[in-house]
Amino acid sequence: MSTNNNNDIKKLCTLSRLEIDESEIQKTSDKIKEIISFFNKLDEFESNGVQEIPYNYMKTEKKVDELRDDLTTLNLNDADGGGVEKATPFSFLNSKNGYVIGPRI
Amino acid sequence: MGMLLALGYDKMTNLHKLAGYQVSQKIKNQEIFAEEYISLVFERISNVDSKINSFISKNHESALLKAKQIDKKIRNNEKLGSLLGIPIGIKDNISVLGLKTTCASKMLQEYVSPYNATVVDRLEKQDALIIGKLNMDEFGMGTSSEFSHYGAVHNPWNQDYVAGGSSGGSAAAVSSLQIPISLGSDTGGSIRCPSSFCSVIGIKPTYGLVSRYGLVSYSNSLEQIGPMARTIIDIAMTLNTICGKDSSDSTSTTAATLDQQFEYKINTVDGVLGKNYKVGIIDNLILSSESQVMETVFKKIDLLKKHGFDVQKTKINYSDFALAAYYVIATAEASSNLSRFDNIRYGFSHNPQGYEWNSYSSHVRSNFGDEVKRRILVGSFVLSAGYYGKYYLKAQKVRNAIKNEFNKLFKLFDVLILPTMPILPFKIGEKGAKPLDLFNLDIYTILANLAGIPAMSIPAGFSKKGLPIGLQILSNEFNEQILIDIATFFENKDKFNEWIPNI
Amino acid sequence: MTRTESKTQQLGISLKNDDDDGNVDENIKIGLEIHSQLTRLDTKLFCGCFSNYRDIKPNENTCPICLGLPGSLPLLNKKAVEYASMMCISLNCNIPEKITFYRKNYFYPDLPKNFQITQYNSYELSSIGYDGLISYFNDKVESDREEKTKGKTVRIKRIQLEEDPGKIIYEENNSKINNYCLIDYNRAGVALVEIVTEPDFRNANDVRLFLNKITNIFEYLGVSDPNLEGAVRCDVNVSVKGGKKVEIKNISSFKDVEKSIIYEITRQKTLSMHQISVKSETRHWDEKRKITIPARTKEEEDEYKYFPEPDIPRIVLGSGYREKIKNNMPELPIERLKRYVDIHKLSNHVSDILINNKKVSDFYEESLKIYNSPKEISNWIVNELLSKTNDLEKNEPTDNKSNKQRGFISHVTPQQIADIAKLVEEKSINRNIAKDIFGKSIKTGESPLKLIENVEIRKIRDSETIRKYIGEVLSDEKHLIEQSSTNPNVANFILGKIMKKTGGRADPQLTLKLIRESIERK
Repeated sequence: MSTNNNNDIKKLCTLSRLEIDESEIQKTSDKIKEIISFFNKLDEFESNGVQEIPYNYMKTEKKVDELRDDLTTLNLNDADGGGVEKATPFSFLNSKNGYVIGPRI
Repeated sequence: MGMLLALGYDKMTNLHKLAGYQVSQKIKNQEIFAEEYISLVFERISNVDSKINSFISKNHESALLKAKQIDKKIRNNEKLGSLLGIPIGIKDNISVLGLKTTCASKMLQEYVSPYNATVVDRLEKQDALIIGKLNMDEFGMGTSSEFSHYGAVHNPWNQDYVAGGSSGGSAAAVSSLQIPISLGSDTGGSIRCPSSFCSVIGIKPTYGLVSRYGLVSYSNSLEQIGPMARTIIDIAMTLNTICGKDSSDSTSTTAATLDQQFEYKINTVDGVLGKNYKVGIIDNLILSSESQVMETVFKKIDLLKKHGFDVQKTKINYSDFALAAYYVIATAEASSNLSRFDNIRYGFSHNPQGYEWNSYSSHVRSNFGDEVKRRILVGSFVLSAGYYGKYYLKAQKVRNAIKNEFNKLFKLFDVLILPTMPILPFKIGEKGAKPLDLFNLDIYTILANLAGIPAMSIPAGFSKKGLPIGLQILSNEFNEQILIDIATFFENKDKFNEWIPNI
Repeated sequence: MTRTESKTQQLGISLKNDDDDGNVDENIKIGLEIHSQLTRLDTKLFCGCFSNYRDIKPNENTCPICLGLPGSLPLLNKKAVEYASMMCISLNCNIPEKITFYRKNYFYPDLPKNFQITQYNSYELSSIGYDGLISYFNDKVESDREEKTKGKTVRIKRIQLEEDPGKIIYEENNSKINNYCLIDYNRAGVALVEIVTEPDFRNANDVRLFLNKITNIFEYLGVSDPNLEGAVRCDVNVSVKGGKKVEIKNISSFKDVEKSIIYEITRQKTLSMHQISVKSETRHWDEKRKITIPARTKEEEDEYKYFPEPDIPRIVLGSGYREKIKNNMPELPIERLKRYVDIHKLSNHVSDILINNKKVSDFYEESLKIYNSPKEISNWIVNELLSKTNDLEKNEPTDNKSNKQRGFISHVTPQQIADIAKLVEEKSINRNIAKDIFGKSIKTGESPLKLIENVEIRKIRDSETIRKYIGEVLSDEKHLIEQSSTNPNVANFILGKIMKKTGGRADPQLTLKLIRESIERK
């Protein structure tokens, strides 16, 4: 996001599958650049004393034994007995013979 | 309504002022019927909400039906839940079976959830009544509840002002005495900011304490569902109901097993004082807030000192990096989370026939609001090839540093105190021209989300113009009891539960 | 546009400047990306829907999780981690103590969330397996064990666990005239293991041997049935020295994997010969025309915006995990081979044939349980049963491997094989008769023991009758008497004829005695 033209923003729009009106492009681009230059503040961060292991970000951990068993009858909510079990059949936005209608590829 | 004969007129008109636990007691004692109470609640909503705009949809018929069932249960001496007959409003990004879950977005205006969020199941199991879905900033992205497809939420204390966000509907509905309790979600302050602006209590629990199953994700690694209410008893009761391990959310806590449930208590003031809590004052942050906010917070600190709390000054070092780190993580996760809204499986009425795939998705996704679009674009940017290390990974390192800093602070203190918001509530339409102006408002609240620790906002007082000011209290992870204790102390001394807007 | 230009465009190439050294044969590099569904799981990777999505009405094998409905969260299947680990162990991969899942973000209508939950090793070692090595053999040298153990090896770069997308269907064959597509999400979320090899293959034949080898291993592990439609898919990358790497996707069968490699090598060599450089690209295999065609290159293809899946915690396997899985793992083909040779004392050749197909090997094991004679049982399976099945295959040529196995299994039971082996070993029945009985047993499904009883009961022990048969043979083929003085085998030949006439009922000892008498008398 360093150049002055709006190619970057257009590329981002394609990547994000968003359309932005031609008239709004400049304004959007300015706002996004403002945010990105604010993010660039992170360059100054010195993680003194903080472990430098690249993957040492905050992430919860779970033991493999605590994972879900391979059972088709899910009792997802323990005592609650809710969740997926109670799910009603889902009606799709547009469908044909049970298939979901999508745009042509 | 023949049953009204049992009650005096005055008693009925004042029911909406009661806390959830008080009404529940009356229903249980058969002083009132759940059915008549719920009818009154809906009457109150239709009288008041035209000025506030806190509800997106109401669950009228089903709630009334449930209320009748509760009355029947009482007559039949059946086992009764702990939230018996209490009407609870749900932020519109939390799934309720059979109700629309719009996230205040045009993209989901026709989406009806086929399942219940875990928290909703748990509330209903305790005989609470789901009263409706509450307004918010679209997908939780905002600090004012102005960015809603359904229009801005108005502050009950002054309707020209914002209610705060993103859970603005949840705070305003409780503050304006439409309902006693609501659920909000908090990604970077979305429960605490509107709680502060509307003068109610709101808590963001420890990450993992409350199941996120059914909460439409904005930034999964930061957010939690939490209760909002006018009294600390209602907060504790609701939190007791919704918290604890849930096997349908892999990030829900493993700190407690099922047979070792979390249970929060309301202690007496003497009991709280007897615990000799050490209080840290985040001095550098308090001093950076608006003068009226600062003065109010110092008054609260004086009250603590007066009652013998051990109060000492301290500071947070990384808060300047924290805001940037927060928005990098939040927008990155959001850009991915919101990808699924392509209007193929669900969404708003639109037929994809005749469209080419790429142009269809771009076309329909343009129905996101401007703020949401901006955050998706920013998030896509920070995750794009070559930038991962510069932004996302760096942000995670800052997050680690913040967590470490809090770990150190909580070796010295039991509880930390700072304002919830750096400024007073502002007028609708006043802010938003510059994205950073709004981002900067989150500077005090995002810390708890980054560190995963619990944080509560409680009413602290008012500005000269009568706009609410909130006090924020933080404790170490899974120490929600300390927050409830401190809030109990202030509620008892200040009687903030009696601060009610004139509406 | 000139003809050359349009040709180069169609081939997806650009004109090359520098010279090529021409000697490319030894400089072919082929790598594979194999996707294998864990078809033996009961449920999908992240939800309780059926793993076996086949034959379910469209979109009826779905739930909020695999449809990616707002608010749903993935729940990792423990057994999927175990099965993937077994695959890693069988391919000699390392398994890390902790694994992580990542989101691969791209928009496509068959992806319910518009991202795929997978694993990714660029930022950390997150995948279930890495740095493996497996040898495979060329069956031309199969009889020589020394030669075989030298074998050929391929390095495994990584193995990762991920979710399968849904399926897109068109009402019209030509996608261009379709106004819309139809999507079935029944497959979405099925557990998929991706195996990425280093580019260690030099020719298409080796690739085929390798694919047979690993799909056989997966069958032994009981994690995947490669015979199910779409259960194992394979992408290929090919590069010829001097050119860039070309990826080929959309290959639907192993036969086409070979064909696409051969086609692509030829294409790239041809370009090199004409001093046209091969550019890095993705091409699709055109199943009908049997050629590779340039895939529409999308700029954002490299922009998958990978980041750690925040809804799945890092999974701690721990240091003892590998051992634990290994100890509970079914026997691998290589282990079975060793057992057959060392303990059952079978030849390498026979052992190899047995283990190369798990169903055959299992059949052998089952038969052994009934009658424990490895030599005799393996002999009947390899020399009789398999050759009969092969004959059957020659008459009805088919691409489908599973038909062969189904034919094998459905017609014969281990009991039949065990019985026939027992008859031969214990009742010292003539091998020819045994074969005959076995043939009948296969045809009728009747037990060989029953059949032999019939033979015994109806056995002809009456000398007069036998002499009548001998007379018939000798009057038909008079030259036999003359030959008998010089050729000692004539007696046996006549016995064979009589056995045929009597359906094996003539008592062999008595008949032989009578034959000799009649020859000598003449």
